[in-house]
Amino acid sequence: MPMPREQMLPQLETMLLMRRTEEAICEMQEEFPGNFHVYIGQEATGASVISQLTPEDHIFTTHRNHAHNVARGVPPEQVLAEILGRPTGPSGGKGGTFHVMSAAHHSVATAIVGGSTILAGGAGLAAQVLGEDKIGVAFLGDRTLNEGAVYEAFNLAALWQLPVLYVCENNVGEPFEPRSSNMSAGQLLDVVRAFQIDTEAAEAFDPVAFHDVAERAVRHVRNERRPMFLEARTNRWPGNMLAGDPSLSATGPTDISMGWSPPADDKYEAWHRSDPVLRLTRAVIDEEIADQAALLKLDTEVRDRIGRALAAARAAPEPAGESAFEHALAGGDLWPR
Amino acid sequence: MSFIEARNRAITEEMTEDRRTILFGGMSGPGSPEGGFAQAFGRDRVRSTPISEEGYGGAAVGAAMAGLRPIVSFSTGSFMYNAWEPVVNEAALMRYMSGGQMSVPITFHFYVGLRPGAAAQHSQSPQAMLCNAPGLVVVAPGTPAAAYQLMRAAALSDDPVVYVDSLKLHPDVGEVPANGRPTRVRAEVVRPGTDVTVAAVSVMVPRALRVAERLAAEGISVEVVDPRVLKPLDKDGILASVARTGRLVAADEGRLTCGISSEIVATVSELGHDLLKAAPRRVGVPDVPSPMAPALDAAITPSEDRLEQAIRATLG
Repeated sequence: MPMPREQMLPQLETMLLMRRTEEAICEMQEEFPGNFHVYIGQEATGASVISQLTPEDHIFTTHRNHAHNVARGVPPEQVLAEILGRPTGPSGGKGGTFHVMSAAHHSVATAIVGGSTILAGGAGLAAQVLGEDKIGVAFLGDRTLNEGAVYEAFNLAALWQLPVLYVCENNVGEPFEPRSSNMSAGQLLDVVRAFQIDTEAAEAFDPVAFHDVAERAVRHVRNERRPMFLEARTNRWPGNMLAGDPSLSATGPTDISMGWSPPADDKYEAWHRSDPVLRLTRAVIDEEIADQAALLKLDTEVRDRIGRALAAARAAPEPAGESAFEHALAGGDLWPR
Repeated sequence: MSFIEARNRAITEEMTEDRRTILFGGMSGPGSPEGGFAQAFGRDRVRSTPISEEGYGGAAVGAAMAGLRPIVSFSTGSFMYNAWEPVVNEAALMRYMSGGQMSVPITFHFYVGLRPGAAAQHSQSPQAMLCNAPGLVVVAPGTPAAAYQLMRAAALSDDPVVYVDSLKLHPDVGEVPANGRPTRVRAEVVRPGTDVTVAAVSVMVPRALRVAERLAAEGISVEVVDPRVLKPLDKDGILASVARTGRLVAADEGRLTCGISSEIVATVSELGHDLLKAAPRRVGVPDVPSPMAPALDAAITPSEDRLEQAIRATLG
């Protein structure tokens, strides 16, 4: 079913937290080394799928993990601290942008393309062997299907009937640049169907409509105890960021008032039309769930929270050098040291 | 009890005592000598796999993160290379990348070493490469007792453990401890001696014991130490032996360059240089692939004769 009325405002708040967290990451991009990968524009997919999970389910995300973690309930304060490499991050700065993860939230981030697919089947296997009703969820991008590991994962999941949902976020490429999936097959689902895996594909620009797709997919895997592949056709901007990439500043931070009053002569009109945050903002107004003033207040609260989180992450000390030597192994006296 | 019986007894006890333990891969394949596990514990917990080392290795790692304690066999060590990603990039790194939040309690098993007839692609010995991948514990039993204890310790460990097995050891017979998980695993003196320490790994342990027996007739006293854990190496245990003998030969049926024997010699040279009365020696496989023909295999095998020569060389 489409998103119930009473879930629209909470879901908008979640998606605003996802968006504003990543805008903060773009803002602080020169304060940490390396490149990073944001999810801006894809929030409807992660927010919808993750909202349908139980705390016992296991998600396996990727290098593009920040917003998945926020949707899963990992506090943005922790996400930003980890990305800045601070001891207050969940991994104490050892993971950074590539590996924001939380054991308490059953959220794992592997930055090897295809890694999420081979691991998530294992969570389904654990559920099967232990007789639990939890499921495994793998997030992956369309080009992940270039990796051979994925086909081993599909075959095993279908052969063993593992309860695992593969959520493939396919950046269809509009409006800024054509992107290829680098696949010889014309349709991604054609490849997956050969493994006798149930499939579904849908546009994921409209959070209200996509909620229905996500709800059915999670329910299918949980009830039928078999794998499913969901292709979410998404859009993403600014995309893969290297420090200094000007693309975010081209659009600037999201202005949610565009949700109810789109600007005339918008250079980024195609982008804004597909933006799930603006789409849900519009839906909340249209459904008369909240008025413009209430939404601006909500957004201000979210931005204030993220602003405080960013300040706290910046103010936290660098990790002590000796912590680099912790956590390679479990410790204890079983093995020599 | 034989080496293979001891190893399988450990697996049987783990499967019996802990329902989270599952077994899959080459060791549990139908028709394999170990096929009895499926009859004993059922196809749900003992699974034959598609020929997908990366896929089933990865599923085992994910399962270990979600509540199971899998034992996974890649059969021949050569096939382990197809599972490099889940082993060295996922299992090995998860605890560290998560800042200690996550554990991957899993045992990876495979057979290493030269096997006449196997040729180059079915006889790889990746133990040293895996020691170079941070986040793994690497164990290599050389006796039936170690075969049992290391499998049980691996199952107890919250770290991913690589269990380096050798088919050549399977018929060996020896004393095996009673049922139980060891809580502390260190290098073991399997034969005490006073003149030379031989730090022998896996199949080199029985070879070293036979050479020690041979040399005893000449009045040369060889101490054989089995490190048992290749990583983290029990430096203190090996140094304590060298302190007694003053001489060291390190032996592993893996390649010499950046090998296990190299690491043992480097460790003793660095930390125990003043204990040494003579230059330490390494015995291993030269840096060539494994040939098929038995005569060629014999040419590169770290045999008892080659080990004996190395021991004599340290005695001057």
